[in-house]
Amino acid sequence: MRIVARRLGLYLLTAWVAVTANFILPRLMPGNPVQTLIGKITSQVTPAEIRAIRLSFGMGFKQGIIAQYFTYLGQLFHGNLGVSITLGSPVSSILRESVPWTIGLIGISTIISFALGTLAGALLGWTRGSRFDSMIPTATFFQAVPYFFLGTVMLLVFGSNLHWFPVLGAYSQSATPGWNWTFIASVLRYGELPVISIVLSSVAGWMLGMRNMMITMIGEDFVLMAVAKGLPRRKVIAHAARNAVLPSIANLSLAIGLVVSGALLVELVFNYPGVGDLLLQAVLNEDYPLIQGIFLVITLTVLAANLIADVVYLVLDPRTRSEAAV
Amino acid sequence: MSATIPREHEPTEVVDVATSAVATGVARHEPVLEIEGFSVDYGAGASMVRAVDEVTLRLDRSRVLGIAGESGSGKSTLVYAMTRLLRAPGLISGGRVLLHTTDDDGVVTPVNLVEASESELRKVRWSHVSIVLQSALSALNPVLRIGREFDEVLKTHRKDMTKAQRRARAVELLRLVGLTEDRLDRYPHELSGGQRQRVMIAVALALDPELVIMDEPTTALDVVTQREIISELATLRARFGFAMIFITHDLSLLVELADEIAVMYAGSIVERAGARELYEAPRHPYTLGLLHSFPPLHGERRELTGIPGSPPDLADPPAGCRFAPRCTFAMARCLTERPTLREFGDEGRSVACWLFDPASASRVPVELSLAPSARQTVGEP
Repeated sequence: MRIVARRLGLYLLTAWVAVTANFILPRLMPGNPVQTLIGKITSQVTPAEIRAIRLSFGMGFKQGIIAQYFTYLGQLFHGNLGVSITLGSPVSSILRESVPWTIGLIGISTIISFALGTLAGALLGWTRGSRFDSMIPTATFFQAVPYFFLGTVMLLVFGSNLHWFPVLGAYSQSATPGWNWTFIASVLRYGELPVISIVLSSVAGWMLGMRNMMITMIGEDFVLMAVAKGLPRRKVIAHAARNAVLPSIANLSLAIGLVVSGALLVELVFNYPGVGDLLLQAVLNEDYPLIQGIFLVITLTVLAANLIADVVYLVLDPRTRSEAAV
Repeated sequence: MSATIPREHEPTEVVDVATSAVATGVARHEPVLEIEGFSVDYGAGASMVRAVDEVTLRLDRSRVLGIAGESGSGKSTLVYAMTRLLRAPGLISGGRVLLHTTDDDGVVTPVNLVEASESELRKVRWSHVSIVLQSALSALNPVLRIGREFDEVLKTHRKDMTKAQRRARAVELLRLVGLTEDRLDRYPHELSGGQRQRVMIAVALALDPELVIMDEPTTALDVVTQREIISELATLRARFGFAMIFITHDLSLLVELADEIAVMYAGSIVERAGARELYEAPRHPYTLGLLHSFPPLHGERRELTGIPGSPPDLADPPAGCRFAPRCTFAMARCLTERPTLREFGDEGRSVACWLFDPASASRVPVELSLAPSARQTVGEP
């Protein structure tokens, strides 16, 4: 428990650094949101109007940089991330709408891909040199094809031409968003093709990683001992796999950390209302509060994912418990 | 050719009494393991290497056979292959390995391990033959508690045992090797090297096997721990009466523990004799060289000379005796003809060397014709 507390402290420090960087960086950039907005207005702008815009962005008061920083921290604790310039609504509520979509789509795909790839990798490692090895180049092919191309082709072939899957968007226009069965079913149905495409393009990495670790583990003495003990094959494989999966768990934590940043290409191809799409719009429109808000959420998720991975690793590998205290 | 030691009364049929592992006195001359013409190859075709060449061995119940030889002599390959644990590219190319397994009712069934199926092997493994490896750290699964090592074995082979019974048995086994119950909840990395090796020995005894194979179990340990474990093994063997194959390159260690010693060189057995006879009065020049490579545990200090040269390349072995290029007593015949292991003179010992060929007119060098107990270098056996 002491180790977990120590880790937690370290993560809090990292989070603070990230939040501070998030405050400083936009202030180092040339221009400001007000100028951006004024630049977009084609008619004459009066000084009174400029003042009004400044006020609406909470920039009406002359504050020192230190005071601004503390105001920023205070607002952050209340979940106030400012107002989006282009969309005109609070950043926090915009994020609340798009983050769940991304977590749902990319998160589920990542977990399916991890589970499938790790399982296949364990079996491929055990039966190395057999005909199952031909799965590897196939899987690697799908990972090597640029996702944009793979996604578009799948969308065209299975969506537009064969009509096996619905296309465009996250749910049917006829369904009313909310916790009703029609809507959930529609979300699942619309999610199928994106999920399949993501799994197809990412499963090779998990598979190869696990397979190689399995082959390394099979050479270990404790696997030989498991055979010598007369354990059933299933248990012998479990001995090897239990150790082989550790590096994959570390990679999974990194992958989960990146879930929120979204797969921009996936969301573009399938017109999915997630964070990736939002970030692209925000950057194109120089919508600083929104960019800042998205970055903050991404940073905090990466940190949270790493913390979870650390704890899981401590549970799975007893050796890290003593090393972690150093 | 046969390395089988002739006994006063060879058992002609299966005896159904006194087969309990503890009754060591009666069951002494029943074989537990018979290896005949056993060969192991690595690879195939032109790159083929014969690592074990037509080895014939016999081990009686409750006896300890030491197998000595330098690295690459095939001693480990022999035991891994005969228990069918050898990994690719190792391949058994001939011979027979009979393990005489005794079931709970005392009925002895010979199992030919070379031809046994996977499921037959699973039944024999650990219940009848268990193994202790050199490095206990890598032989224990690093992410599992010590208790799991015991639990797993008992759960697989003693299906009627409850969880509490398995735990009790594990505690009992740990006590046997001088460890306390709290070790069960530890992980391998939290134990010292000696403790880990004791755990391995305790796990190996979990199912009361007839045969325990020890592959250099003390090589990775310091000398003090080494001594402790050797004497514990001797006690445990006397108490439970399992037979043991003990592999090492340290002959002076073997003489303390083993009843008989087989010396391997380049894939074949070159000499086999009672432990004390072999230690005090070696017959094969290689055995002599091996004895001169280790300081004796007791007695006067003598010069360590070692053996000049290095073991032969098994992919291209010498035409005659494989030891001839390094042998100080080599004759013309040794370079062309290969000696086979044959029984030699008294005490049922055998040696593969032309010096001891009755037809040969050669004189046996004085170093190789000592009588047992003629030297002062031996302590209490």
